[in-house]
Amino acid sequence: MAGGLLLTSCHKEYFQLDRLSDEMEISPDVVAPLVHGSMSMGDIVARFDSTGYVGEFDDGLIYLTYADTLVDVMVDTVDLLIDEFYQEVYFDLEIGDNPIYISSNIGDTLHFRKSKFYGFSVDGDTRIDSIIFKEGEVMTEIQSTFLHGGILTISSDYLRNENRNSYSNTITISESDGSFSWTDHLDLDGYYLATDKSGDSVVFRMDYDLALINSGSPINPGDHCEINSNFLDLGFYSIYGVIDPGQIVSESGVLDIPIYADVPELSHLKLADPRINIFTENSLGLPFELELDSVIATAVDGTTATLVLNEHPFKIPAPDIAHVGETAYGEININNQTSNFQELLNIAPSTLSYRVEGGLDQEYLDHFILDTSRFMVEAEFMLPLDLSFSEYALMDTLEFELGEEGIDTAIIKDVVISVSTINELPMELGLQVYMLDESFVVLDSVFDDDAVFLPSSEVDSEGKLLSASENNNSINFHTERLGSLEEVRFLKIEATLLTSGSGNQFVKFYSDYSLDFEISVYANFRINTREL
Amino acid sequence: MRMKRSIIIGLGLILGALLQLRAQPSNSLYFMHGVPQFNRVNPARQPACGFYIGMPLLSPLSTELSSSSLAWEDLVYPHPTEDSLITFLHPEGDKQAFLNQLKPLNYVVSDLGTSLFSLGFRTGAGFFTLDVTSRVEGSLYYPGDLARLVLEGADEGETYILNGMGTDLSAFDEIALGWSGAIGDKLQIGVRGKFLFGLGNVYTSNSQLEVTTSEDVWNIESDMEFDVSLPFAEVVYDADGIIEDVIVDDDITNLNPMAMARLAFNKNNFGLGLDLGIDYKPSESWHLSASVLDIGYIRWTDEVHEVSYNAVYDYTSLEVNPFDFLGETGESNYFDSTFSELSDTLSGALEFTQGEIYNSRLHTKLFVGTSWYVTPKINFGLLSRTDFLRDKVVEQLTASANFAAGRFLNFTLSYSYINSYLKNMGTGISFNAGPLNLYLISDNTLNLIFWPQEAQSANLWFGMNLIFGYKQFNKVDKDRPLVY
Repeated sequence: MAGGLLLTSCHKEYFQLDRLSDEMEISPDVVAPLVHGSMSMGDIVARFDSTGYVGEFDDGLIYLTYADTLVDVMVDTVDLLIDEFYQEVYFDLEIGDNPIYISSNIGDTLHFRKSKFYGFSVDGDTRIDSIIFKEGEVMTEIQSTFLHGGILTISSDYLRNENRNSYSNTITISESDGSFSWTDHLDLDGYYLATDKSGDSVVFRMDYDLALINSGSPINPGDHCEINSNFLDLGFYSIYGVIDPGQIVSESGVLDIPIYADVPELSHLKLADPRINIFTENSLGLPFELELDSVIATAVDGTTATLVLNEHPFKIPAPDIAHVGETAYGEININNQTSNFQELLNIAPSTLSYRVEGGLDQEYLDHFILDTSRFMVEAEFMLPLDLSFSEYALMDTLEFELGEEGIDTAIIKDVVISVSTINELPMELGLQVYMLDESFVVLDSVFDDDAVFLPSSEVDSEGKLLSASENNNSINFHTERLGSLEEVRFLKIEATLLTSGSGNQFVKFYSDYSLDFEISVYANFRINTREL
Repeated sequence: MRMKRSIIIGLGLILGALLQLRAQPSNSLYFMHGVPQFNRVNPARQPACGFYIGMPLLSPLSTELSSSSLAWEDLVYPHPTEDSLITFLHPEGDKQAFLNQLKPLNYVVSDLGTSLFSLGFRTGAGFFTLDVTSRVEGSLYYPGDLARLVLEGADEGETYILNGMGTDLSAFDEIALGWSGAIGDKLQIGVRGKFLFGLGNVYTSNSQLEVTTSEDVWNIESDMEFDVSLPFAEVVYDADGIIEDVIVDDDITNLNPMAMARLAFNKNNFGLGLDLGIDYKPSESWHLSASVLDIGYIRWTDEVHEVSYNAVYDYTSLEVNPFDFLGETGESNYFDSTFSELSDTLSGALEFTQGEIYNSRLHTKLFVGTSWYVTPKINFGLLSRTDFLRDKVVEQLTASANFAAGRFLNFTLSYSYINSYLKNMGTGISFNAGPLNLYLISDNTLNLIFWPQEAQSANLWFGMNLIFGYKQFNKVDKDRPLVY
């Protein structure tokens, strides 16, 4: 009955369902938070510092550091001492002509003595007082063609054993038929050798006493007694003396610094407190002095800055004679307090000319070298993130392509991605992303204007954080822009960095400074049943 | 597949019960004295006969569809420029007008059914009735903000209040025994007791849900609890507490008579109900009456399950490691992760458990009416009806003009204010030919004819009874003067 009533009603057109369109469409909006996160400078450091180039001071100030060992010498690896020398002593016809011999009778013992100086040359006023051998030998070779027996004594007050007894070696020439030959080896381990300075050499003396027992035979022409003393494979425990306090190092040159030419934007980077720390470890009994002279930085535009050091020359401490075997540590700091080093870096130098002179500290003249002595110089370059930069621009081009499914612009009409930031970093980021087609023609830009994407925080006069900046950026992908994404093949990213205060003051980066962000999305959909 | 089949069978059972339900009483019936079942609306009423018996399945056959907010024309209307019909969801449809029609909480009531057995008889102690009825009380509640959320989306700074969302659906059999008696000449009272046997139930015992959306946070607060009794099926849960299968009793599937009888009068889901009525005639011209129907409840104990959804959740986006986010993981994966986390969290708050015994109350209705008799055969009535739904109290007003042309014909013309709609014009007509009684009643007859697209509710009662012992009441009428 109800159906009949409906059919007869004057509004039956409302119920003619065969005329009902099946098309339906809704256009809901959806707004939702997507992701949020936070990254502190400490996080950033941990992320990118896989090589330990980044650290932080106790107060959290971050620094970049690079340390390298400039010199590391173990004395036992260096040939400081001539490792062998020898001397030949020769007794021959002179004996036959000697009146002692001529007047002697058979059975008489006749002494013939000679002394020989052994030595090696040294530079300048270098003087070696003594050497204690760790290794080496004295090889003595004797050959006698005299038709007489006898005794040969070799001795030296310069060479003493570990009990400080002078060296003395007596050899019996047992053969009188002219065929005597003898060889002897003396291990020098523990022996002490005193030397004298003679001219440009250090020398010591060996004494030879040949006692012949007259056999009645003549001394014929050619008869001789030859003695060869060979100091071989010498090594030492210690050397005492005085090294010539004159120059031991003198070098000059020009270093190219290409980084500023390669990355010109770095010229806008100013460092407030760059530092070079030089650490020394010295167990040589040699106190050094190092003098830097004419260190001049020159920028591409010709600007120069000369390094001025407040404390100069640099002294590298050494243990004195009372502390043999110990190590003296030294530290040389080149920073704002000790120099104008900052000025040199902040002109963006392309070259650095220098002259280095090294010598011994003349206040101490009791020098020594041990076989265990070590000399090490380590340089640490430290750049605290107390800096400023202006007009620092970065640019990169990335490949981009939507997935196979692309974006269904029939359904998604409008997407707005909002990025909210709370920034404690004293750094402003300007960002623009250009969408390019395959011919690198700009199709569109992600941001509608060149507004600052990430404002810097506010800092005080010391460059420390006063208040974080808060900002919100919206990226609107309307239908046309979404559609154009299909043609995008590259993204050209341009970023500019600027520290707080428009880059005109130094700012500090502490590890607890953070950047918090929230990303939310607004999307407008149009869902039509006939387009699904 | 098996689960799907089982659910379909279960739903079929519920719909089957719906087909047998006794619909919400028609307001126009309240003043239809020629219809024996008019005492269904007020148990104090006594049919003008000594005995009646309703035809099985036709005493009455009834249907009702009622929407609190939306009419047909809010859903379907002519295309503004083309010769076709469109829905409000069509691109040319007016979605805002659709949303404007919705209230914070809206409902749809749909009933269809009949009594299985109905008789009444008069004794010296009064008039007694006995009715066996299969009933389904079904209502669906939907918040206006739900439609707003679907059509307009989750917008910035918006709060969507979805409180009250849910459904109440009770299928039960009722054995009702009524009595009406006179106290003096002017007062009649009536009472009807009911024994209720639950067939199945879905009961929204609590429904609080608010969603606030913004680009900073999505806040979802829910405190929802649904109780379900499915005596005809076994619900199987997996290890995670998720419903794995619903297995309908084979005897029910095979329509085993004994099983169906056990289900129809399931003592494990037992309830009690009560109707009360009063009819007072201060004068020959004025009748005052009132009734309260369906005071009662059913205690559901058989195959009870509970579905709860309790969550207080602030979704403030997914926390990411920025280096991963900008690295290999990629932002698109994070978008997927974001919504996966959101859906996982929200779905994680949904719990299915073996439920505890619970009660569901009947939808109580209060009728208060008055009639003014111009003549014994012509009267005008005014009726207030108040329905106490779960979270709503719904008021209806009906004015009627009632005519009697001897015993042969009773006719009612009514006007009702229902669901804020002013143009409900109803009619009722009852024929008596000997013992045969036929009637057809609707509160919306004329608006279904003249402006059906505006109708927010429609009901129709059709009944057939055999009436005996009516002559003595005709005689009384004959004794009345022709001119009052």
